[in-house]
Amino acid sequence: MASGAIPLLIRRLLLVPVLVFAVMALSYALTHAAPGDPVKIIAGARDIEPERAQQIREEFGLEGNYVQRFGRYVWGVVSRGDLGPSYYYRSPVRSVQELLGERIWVSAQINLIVMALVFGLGIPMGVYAAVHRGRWQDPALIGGLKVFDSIPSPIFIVLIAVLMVNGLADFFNFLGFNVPNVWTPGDPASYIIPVLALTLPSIGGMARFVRVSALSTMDDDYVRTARAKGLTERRILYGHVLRNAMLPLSTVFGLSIVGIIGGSIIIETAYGVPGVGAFMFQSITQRDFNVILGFTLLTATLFIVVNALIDVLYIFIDPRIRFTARFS
Amino acid sequence: MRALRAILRKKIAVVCIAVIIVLYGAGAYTMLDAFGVDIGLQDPTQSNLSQRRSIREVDGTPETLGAFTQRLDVKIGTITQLNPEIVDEYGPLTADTVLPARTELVLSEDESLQGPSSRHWFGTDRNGRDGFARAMFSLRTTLIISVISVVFGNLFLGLGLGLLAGYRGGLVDQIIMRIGDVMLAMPGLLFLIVIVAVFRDQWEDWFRAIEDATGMGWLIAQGVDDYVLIVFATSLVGWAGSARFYRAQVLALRESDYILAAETIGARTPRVLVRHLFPGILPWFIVGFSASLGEIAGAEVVLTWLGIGITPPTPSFGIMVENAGGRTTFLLYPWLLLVPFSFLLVLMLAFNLLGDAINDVLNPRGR
Repeated sequence: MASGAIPLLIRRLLLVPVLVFAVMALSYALTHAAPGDPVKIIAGARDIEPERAQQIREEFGLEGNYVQRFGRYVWGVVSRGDLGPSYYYRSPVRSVQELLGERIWVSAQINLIVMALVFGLGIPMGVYAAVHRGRWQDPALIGGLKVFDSIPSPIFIVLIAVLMVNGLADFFNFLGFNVPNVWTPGDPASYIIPVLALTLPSIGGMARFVRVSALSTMDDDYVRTARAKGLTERRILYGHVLRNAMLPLSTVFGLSIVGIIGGSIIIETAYGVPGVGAFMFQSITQRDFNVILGFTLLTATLFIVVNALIDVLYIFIDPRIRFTARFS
Repeated sequence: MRALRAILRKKIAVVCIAVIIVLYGAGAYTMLDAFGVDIGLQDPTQSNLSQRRSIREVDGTPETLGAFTQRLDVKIGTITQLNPEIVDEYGPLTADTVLPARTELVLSEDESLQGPSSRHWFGTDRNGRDGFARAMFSLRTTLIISVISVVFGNLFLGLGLGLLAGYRGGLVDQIIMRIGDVMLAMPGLLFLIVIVAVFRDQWEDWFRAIEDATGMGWLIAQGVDDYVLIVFATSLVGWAGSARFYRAQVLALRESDYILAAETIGARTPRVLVRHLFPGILPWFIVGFSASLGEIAGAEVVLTWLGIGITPPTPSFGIMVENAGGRTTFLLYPWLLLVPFSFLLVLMLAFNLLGDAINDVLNPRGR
C-alpha cells in the first residue's frame, strides 16, 4: 500500500462519527425543538394539568433542559442502541428500535431487489447507449427512460397498479398467478408492483451515468492504443472501456440507496407495504416525532457509512486519488 | 455568451424552453385573476361563501383544523353527518361556523365527474370543477413555488454561498461547506418531508399571527402559508448541493488571469463575484436552475400527496393527483389522474431534457 493512503483513510473514517453526530444534533433539534413541547404532543392536548405533564415527562425521559435531553438521547443511542419510546404506541410503551425492527425486513427485501435490478439493468442499458452513440438507439433508450423518472411517484404507482392488476391480468393468469392490488403477506407476487415502481424511475439515472462514464473512457488514449493494436471491438469494450468506466459507478451506489429509501416512503404508503417507509409516513400523520427522528437517523447513518466505505474502497482501487492526496 | 448561443442552436433545447414558457405563462396568466381581471376560468379557491372565517376565531377552541374537520365529518362542502354532541358543543351550525377556513365547495353538483367533452375539455372533478381550469390554476401554484424557491434556495443561498466559499476560501469556506456537508449527509426527500412535517403544525398559527399583526386577512385563504412553507423547506434542503456545485466551478475559475487582473486593479470581493465570477459560471447556473425547477415541481406533488404540502382549496397538481385516488377510481374516471399526469409529464420532461441539452453543450465529452 502506498504511503499516502493511510492518513487519507484515517481522515475519512474519522469523519463518520463527526457527521453522524452532526446529523443527530440537526434532526434532534428539528424534531424536538421546533414542534413545541413534546409533552403536549404526547398528551394530545394543549392544556394539561401539571401533574399529568410531570408524569409524561418522567415516563418519556423529558426532564431537564434541551441540552440535557439531547445528551441523554445520544447516550441512549450510543450505549444501548436505544432510540427512545414511541409517542403513539403507548399501551404498553414501545421503543422506536423495536417498532422499526419489526418492519425493516420487508423494506430491506424490496430495496435489495430494487438495487439489484437498478444495477443489473441500468449498467447494460448505459453501455448499450454508449456503444450506439450517434445512432437512433442511444437517444431512444435514454429518452425513453427519462419519461419514467419524470413522472411523480404518486402518479406512477397508480399507473403501474392499473397495468399490472388490470392490463396484464390475462398474462399473469396464463403464468398461473395474480398480482394483488394491495400488499398481501405471504404472496410473492405482491413484490411486483412496489419493486417496479421503485426500479423504473431509478434505471434512467443509472443508465445515463454509465453512458457518460463509458463515453469519456472511450475517448481515452489507452482505448485508442488498444484499437491501434488491432484488438476486436468486443475485447476493447470488455477489457478496457468497461473496467475503467465502472470505477465512478461506486460513487452512485450510496446515492441510489438513499433515493430508493426516500421513494419507498411513498411507494410503501400507496401500496400498503408494512415496511419502515409506510411506518414513517404513518408517524408523520400521528406526530410521532421519536419515530421520525429514529428513521431519519437510521437512514442518514446508513448513507454516511456507505459513502465512507465507498470512498475508502476508492482509495484502494484508484491510485490517482492517493497521488493527488499526497501532492496537493 | 457563446455558450448560451450554442444552447439556443440545439432544437431540443428550444422546444423545451418554449414548452416551459407556455406552461409557466399559463400559470402567470391565471395570476391576473387575483387582480380582478376576468380570465374566463373559474378559480377553484373561490367559493360562493363570501366569509371564510376560521373555526378557531369563531369558538376560540384551540384545535387543529384537521382534527376539527374529522370530528365534524364535513364532507367537501356538504355536511353529511352530524354528531349531536358537536352541535351542542359548537352551538348552532351555520355555514359560517361549520366550514373551516379552507373548504372546497361543490360548485355544481350535476356537473360533477363528467368525462372530457366540448364543454369541459379535461372533464370535471367530484365537485364539478372544470379540469382545465383547475390545471391552469395548479400551474400557477407550481410557478410560484418553483420560481421562488429556486431564486431563494438556488440563486440566493446556493449561488451566493457557493461563490463566497469558493472565492474567499479559508475559514468562510470551511464553515459554509461543513454545514453543507451535514445537510448533504441527510437524504434529500426524507429531510424535506421531516422539515415540512415538523413545521406544519405551527405554521398556520404563525401565519394567523402575521395576519392579525399586518391586517392581511387573505394570506391563509390564498394559500400563501403553504407556499412559504414549501419554499422554506426546499430552499433549506437544496442550497447545500448547489453551493457545492458552484464552489467547484469557482475554484476552477479563480486562478484565471482575468480574475487576477481584476484583483490587481483593486476590485473588491463583491465586485469580483458579481462582475467577473458570475458571468463565468452563468451557463452552469442555468443547468442547475432548470434541474431545480423540475425537482421542486415534483417535490410539491409528493408533499401534497402525503398530506403535508398544499392544503385545499389552493389548487395544485398534488391535490389533483390525491383526489384522483387509486386504481379503482382510475378505472372509473381516468381523466382525473390523466390531466395532472400529462401536465406534469410535459413540464418535468421539458426541464429534464433542457438540463441535458445544456449539459451536452457545456460538457461535450459526454456527447
